[in-house]
Amino acid sequence: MQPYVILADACCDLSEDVRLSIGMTDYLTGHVYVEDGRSFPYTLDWSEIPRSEFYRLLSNKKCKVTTAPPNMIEYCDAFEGYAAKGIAVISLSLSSKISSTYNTSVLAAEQVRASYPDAKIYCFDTLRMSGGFGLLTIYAHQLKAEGKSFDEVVDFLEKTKRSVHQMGPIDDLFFVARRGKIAMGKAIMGSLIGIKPMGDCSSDGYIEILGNARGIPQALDITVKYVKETAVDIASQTVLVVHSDRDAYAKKLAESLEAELSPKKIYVSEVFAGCGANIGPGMVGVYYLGNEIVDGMETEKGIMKTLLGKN
Amino acid sequence: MKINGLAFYKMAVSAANNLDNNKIAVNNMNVFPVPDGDTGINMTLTVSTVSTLGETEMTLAEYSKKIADLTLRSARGNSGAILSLFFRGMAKGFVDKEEADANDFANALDLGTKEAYKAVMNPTEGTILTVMRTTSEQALAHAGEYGDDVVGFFTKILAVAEAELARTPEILPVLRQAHVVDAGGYGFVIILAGMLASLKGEDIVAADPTSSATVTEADFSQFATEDVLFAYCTEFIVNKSEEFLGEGKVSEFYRYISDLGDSIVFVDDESIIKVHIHTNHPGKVLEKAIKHGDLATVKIENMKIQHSNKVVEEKEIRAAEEIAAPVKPYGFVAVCMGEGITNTFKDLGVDQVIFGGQTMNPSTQDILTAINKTPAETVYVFPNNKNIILVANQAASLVQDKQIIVMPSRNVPQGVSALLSFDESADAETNRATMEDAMGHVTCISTTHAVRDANVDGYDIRNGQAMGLVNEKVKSVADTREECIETLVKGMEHISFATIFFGKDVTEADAEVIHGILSANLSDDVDIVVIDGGQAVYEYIISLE
Repeated sequence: MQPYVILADACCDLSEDVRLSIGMTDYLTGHVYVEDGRSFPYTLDWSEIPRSEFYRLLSNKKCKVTTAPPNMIEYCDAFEGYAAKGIAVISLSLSSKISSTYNTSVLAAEQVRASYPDAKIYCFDTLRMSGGFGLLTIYAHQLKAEGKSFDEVVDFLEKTKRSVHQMGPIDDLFFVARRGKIAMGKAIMGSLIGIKPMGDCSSDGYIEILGNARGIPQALDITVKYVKETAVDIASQTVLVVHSDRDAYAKKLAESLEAELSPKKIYVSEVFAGCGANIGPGMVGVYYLGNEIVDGMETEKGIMKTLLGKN
Repeated sequence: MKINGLAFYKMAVSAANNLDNNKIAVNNMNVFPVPDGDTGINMTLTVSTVSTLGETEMTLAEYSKKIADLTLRSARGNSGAILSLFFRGMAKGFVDKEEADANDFANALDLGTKEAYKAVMNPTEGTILTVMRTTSEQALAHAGEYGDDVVGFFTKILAVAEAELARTPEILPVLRQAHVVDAGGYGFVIILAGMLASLKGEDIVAADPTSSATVTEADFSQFATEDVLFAYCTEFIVNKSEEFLGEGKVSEFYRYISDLGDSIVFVDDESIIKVHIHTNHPGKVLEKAIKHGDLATVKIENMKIQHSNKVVEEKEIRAAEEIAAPVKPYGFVAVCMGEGITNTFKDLGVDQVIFGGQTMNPSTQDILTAINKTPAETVYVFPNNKNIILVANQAASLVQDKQIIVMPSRNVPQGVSALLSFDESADAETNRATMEDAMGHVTCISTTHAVRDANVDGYDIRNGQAMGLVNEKVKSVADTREECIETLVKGMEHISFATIFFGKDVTEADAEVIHGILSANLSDDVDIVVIDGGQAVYEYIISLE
């Protein structure tokens, strides 16, 4: 069997300990631009900018922090490096509905195949971001470690990606809204009084706000209950808890998930600069597999309404 | 002698001046010994616009109708609203009349009383309503004895009113405990006394310019644009800095602005100064203002520009108000004080926030203007104070092209809780019911301090002591507000959310102490949020749900 590599970009938000655990050896970095003129690569650590400094920058909402995905040259270099060694590549990208990363990877793959006609490169659109993207990356590595073939991994990813759910509160949707990333622009208010929007993934990978919880204790409680209602065979699953500058909440959520639902494996990671600029501080969420998410999300909305006591 | 239009106008102005001269005494009748007694101010401001009518040849019917309209829009607080309704009823009694004798006046008093009673949901005896009712009953019984002797008639009814006022502590236990008569009733007696003085040719004039609340609005129909001497209509409220707290310490401020314009309204209150002036130097006025505290609100309008477009007749003045066309199905108007509380309501989606609350109740017009500016088909109004609900309902009654729903929120926590329960997918009536239910499930704890010795709700209170109120009723008294709060929250169960709004007289560090008290006494699951509310009068307003 031809060797292959799982190559994600840095929006998969998997921290070093998770990467080590799953055997992830490589990823592509993107770029962060700050309004004051600074720029640096976004990586899956805080080597380029301390976390506290990054979120301090974001807290000043008037200061624009923008991101750009890995560019064509960076993708070509990466793919070519593996092609030259005869290593196939499954390239996982941030959702094509959110970023041009996937399209760039497709073009880069075509270009590399022009020079390496036998190069085997599969560009996979995760249709997810951050932890959802990260969960698919984890599964891909787990399957590879189990000895699954290139095609079996691709097949699993394509069949599963629309079934990746997320749930958890976010303090402030300002950053998501600023990027135009909220599906169905419903203004969420009440952050001063402790209102926490609760979101799942939409069918295209956007955040779909299903309801509002009040305060973190209620939000985390609702999160666990929502997972219980929507996950498929949670006991056999690997789930991923991700947070942006909320270590304590992530720890509490992981503990609650373990106590209430006992998933097979719980990873805890954090949001790094690539997605962090578009999510902002104050998010904590769990990513897991449920039923396929379809347009409208009526089932999920109904479940949330019941959990919030509005049915 | 009979009372014609001009005589009635002069009686009303004399009454307004008498009230203005005695408003502090009326304020001090407030049952709660808190630094927010505002019945006198409210009633004064309600009738203060009467003098803008000026002396004309209008009939009694015309004058009484205009006075009713003016007081309706200027009405503030419950007493102000009741007073405005009384004038409305009187105007009904004088319809088509050129002049009135004792019988006509008695009939008008009776209609005025009935109008006031109709508008109050739960009329309480032992208040201004009782004084009005007894006075009008006796007026009807004895008017025939006086005929054209209106002076004799008014002397009689004033005596009746004074006697009934003295009886109010016998009727209302809370007045007896506080050793006061009803403040609104006292204001009504002062009004009658002012009217009698005018009938005797001894019209009352405003005594102290620094305490004058007479509003003189420019009547734009009387002069051309080039005759507008002072271009900028400047209104603002100053939150007094510590050295100026209390009344009578800002005379130099008044003297300074007196030379800068006219049409001056200068209300020197316990913790704020409210100023209205027409001036060509708004900058100088505001520079002087900020030496006395922070500006809470500022409004400056160029009257020369306004005048060139303004129409003057009453109907056209109303039409000239900005009425925003509805572009969305619902909107919200809320009344509150404090920058942080204002931001909280705005964060919850409130379109228009009106400055006001326990001190400085907004007028009917203030609320009406905010409603008109809200571009929605249905506008929900949150008074957030029991003394503002009535004027809010009055404002709602004046709106014809929108559905107005006044939510009877009695405090900020109720207003916030109601807004949090709003469901944009539900219809108006469902939302009304849901929000009322939410309001019923929130407890409001607030703390303030006593400004005199008193006995309230069974508590003996000494001047300077801290008072803890639960849903506006005194439930604890102690030397410190921390002790009050601890007493109130100890043992409270079934609380999931607590929000602490701390006021301008305490610090964030002080508020963290309160946070600690709540954490220690409520369950571990309670989510506690601390917000710098910036409010005056109440150091803490705590919402418990």
